[in-house]
Amino acid sequence: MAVVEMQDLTKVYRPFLGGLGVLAVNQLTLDIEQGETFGLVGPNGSGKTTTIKLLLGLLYPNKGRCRLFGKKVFAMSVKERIGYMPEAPYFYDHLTGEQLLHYYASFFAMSKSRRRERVEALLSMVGMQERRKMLLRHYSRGMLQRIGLAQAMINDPELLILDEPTSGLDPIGSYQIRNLIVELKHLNKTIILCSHLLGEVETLCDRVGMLHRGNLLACGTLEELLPEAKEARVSMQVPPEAETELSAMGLSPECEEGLVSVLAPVGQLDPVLDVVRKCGGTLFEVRRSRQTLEQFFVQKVREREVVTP
Amino acid sequence: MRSIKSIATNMVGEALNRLIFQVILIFGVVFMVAGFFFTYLDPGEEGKMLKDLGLTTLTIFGMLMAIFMAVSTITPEVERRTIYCLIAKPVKRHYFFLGKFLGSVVILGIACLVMGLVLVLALYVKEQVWSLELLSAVGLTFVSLSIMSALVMTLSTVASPMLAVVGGFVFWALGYAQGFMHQLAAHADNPTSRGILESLGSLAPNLQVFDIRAAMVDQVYIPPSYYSWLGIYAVMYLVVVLVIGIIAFNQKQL
Amino acid sequence: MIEPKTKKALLAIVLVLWLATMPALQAIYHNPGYHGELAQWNPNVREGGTLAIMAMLGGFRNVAANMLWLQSDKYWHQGGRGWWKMLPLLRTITQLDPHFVAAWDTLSWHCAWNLHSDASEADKPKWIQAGVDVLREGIKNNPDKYDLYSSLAWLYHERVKDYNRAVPIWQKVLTFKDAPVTQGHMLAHAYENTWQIDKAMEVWRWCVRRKSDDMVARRALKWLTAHKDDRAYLITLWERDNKVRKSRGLPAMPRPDQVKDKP
Repeated sequence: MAVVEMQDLTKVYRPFLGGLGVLAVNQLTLDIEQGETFGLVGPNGSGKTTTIKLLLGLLYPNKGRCRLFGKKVFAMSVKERIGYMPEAPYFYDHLTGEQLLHYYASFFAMSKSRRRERVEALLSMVGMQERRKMLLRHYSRGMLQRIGLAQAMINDPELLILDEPTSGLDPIGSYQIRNLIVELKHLNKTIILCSHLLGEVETLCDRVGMLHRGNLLACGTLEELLPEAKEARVSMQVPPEAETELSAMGLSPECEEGLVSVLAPVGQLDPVLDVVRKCGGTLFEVRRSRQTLEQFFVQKVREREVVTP
Repeated sequence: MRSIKSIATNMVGEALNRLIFQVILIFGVVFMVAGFFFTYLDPGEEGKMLKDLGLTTLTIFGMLMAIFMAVSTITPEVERRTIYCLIAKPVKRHYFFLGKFLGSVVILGIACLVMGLVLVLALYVKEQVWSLELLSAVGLTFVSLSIMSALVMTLSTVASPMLAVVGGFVFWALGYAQGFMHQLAAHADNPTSRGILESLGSLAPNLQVFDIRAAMVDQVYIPPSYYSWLGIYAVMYLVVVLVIGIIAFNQKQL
Repeated sequence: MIEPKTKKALLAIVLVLWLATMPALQAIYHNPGYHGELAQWNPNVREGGTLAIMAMLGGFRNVAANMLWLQSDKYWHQGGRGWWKMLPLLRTITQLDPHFVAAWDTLSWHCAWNLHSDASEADKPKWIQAGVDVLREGIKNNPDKYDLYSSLAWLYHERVKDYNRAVPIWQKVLTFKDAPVTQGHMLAHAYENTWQIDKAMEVWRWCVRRKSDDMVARRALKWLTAHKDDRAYLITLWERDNKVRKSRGLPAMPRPDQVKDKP
């Protein structure tokens, strides 16, 4: 049984006095399995946040349904098993970081000692022990993101929904959050990661779903979406006769700043390497390229816009 | 129930830290103490004037606090998105609503108690008598403020904050005009007009019946049955308003 | 999300409860603790300034009444014949705050004393009657306070010189636990003026029992004991009172010993 099930999920935002609505999510059908890290990507206004809100029961769908752990999303037993970190979190600025975690922990059936344990563990996990007594109003953006992640984890959830977890963070902060997510993956948590940063999604996610104007453009593993290229680029330092030999093989060597590079089919790699060895040249790099997620996404969006301008 | 208590406690902490609450409470206390100095104008009626001014100040500032507090229960949580983290937790929407209402009531209770005690103390300094009977007027004022708070909270789930504030003041005015509507109905020519006037009056809660300031100041006896009926009326109206608010909040797309 | 059936059930409960608030409100209106009678709109409220108008409209009638009271006090201290200006203000105060005892008292006093002395001969009795009417209305609104009864008795006693009317009212005053013993003195004097000396002496004794160091009561009792059969001074008092009544435009009172039904 999938942890997250969405079937023909549709959401239209209608103005209060009637009129044409905005189709935010259009017949979204998607399942997310236990232990999977699923990346939900798309530009602004693509329906990512709406989808998340539908899963959390903050919005009600116009059509279709969504279930978590096989139950309705509003069920309290479901809420006990999920954690949510909103985008650019804002919390109660009269509380300290520690108090905030205790506050959110109070909604779960936890003993006081268990609550204390969890709070301690989470403060340590997100690196906020020293700032635990500081009021949230004095927290930087990065600190708020960390405490946001901590509160999402307060109940040790099976399903984590993270909306832009590294948004606004410096490189070190982003790196630390990414490491935390990797740790959570190893704990077999199911994670839904919403992000603009496609590079991050590529690094962390097992499967990716691409939304554009409420429609699911593509969904699959990175291997499925981004097959490895059938060519490789070989960079080397070789005498001119080696270039001639490479041209005779039907390849087009390019020379730049003393370095010769050639794009060769995978099947021809060995002969190319033989040429380098034979002429006593130096091999610098063999790189088998693949389309990036960003390139794939842009390509898909452009295709879509041609079909439905 | 645990959720209601947590949300209420958090709200009390937040409100006590909020500037507007502090400003309104301080101003209320200052006005009350200022009344102490104005009464020299009329030596024969000093105690009466101090009680009138004090109880009126409590009502006005209490009402301001009730309206602004109620408007700041739900809308800011939605605007700042703090509600998302809460509703994502095992917190039912109606528990959230009730927790916020309970928090407002506690704040109003604190404010009424502080201002009431200041008034009793000021009267003691003036007249060397503990006028503890005034606390029953303070208590009923607190009940009427709680009803107003529930009304404005319900309004704020469906309207913008500005509209909810305006609505609050409109209900306040209507609430105090109830006695007038009742008098008009009593002098109406026919049963239909009487029925219409009484029904119009019922749209807003009658806040005037909770106003026993005049009776307290003039030491007019109020029988216990009056308080009992007021209690029944208050509970019924509160349930009506809170249930409507819960239904509206449950339907709300966050 | 609330299921549609649950929502319908809740709305039905809301409707029933809301309808139930109407009879509850009626029970409150008919309860003796309800004192919500509102004044009719009165243009004299302007006299107290904008604040008074806002206070009244805002339902804070007592504050409006207090402001008008301050304004009437100002007219009083301006001197001249400020009581004509005070008259409508005081009347408005009694309408805004029917439990403002001092306002009823002051209004009655102005009618029966100051306005009476300023009025033409033909109108004089009208102003005394106005003073009486004001106090009677005040008593209806404040039946549990002895003050206005005392003022009414005093008005009959001192202004109208009608002791037969004053006596039952002084008697009523003495039924209030908080009425001071000096009210008993007035009853005793009223009995004396209706030539009921035995009753007067009984009241003086009551005063002494109530307050053992009441020297006024002791002296009066002693004097009456010595002069209880002396009619001459009583006749002198009666003649003097009739002269005063005549000067106030009031008819003469018959001799007390010729009055059949004494109080």
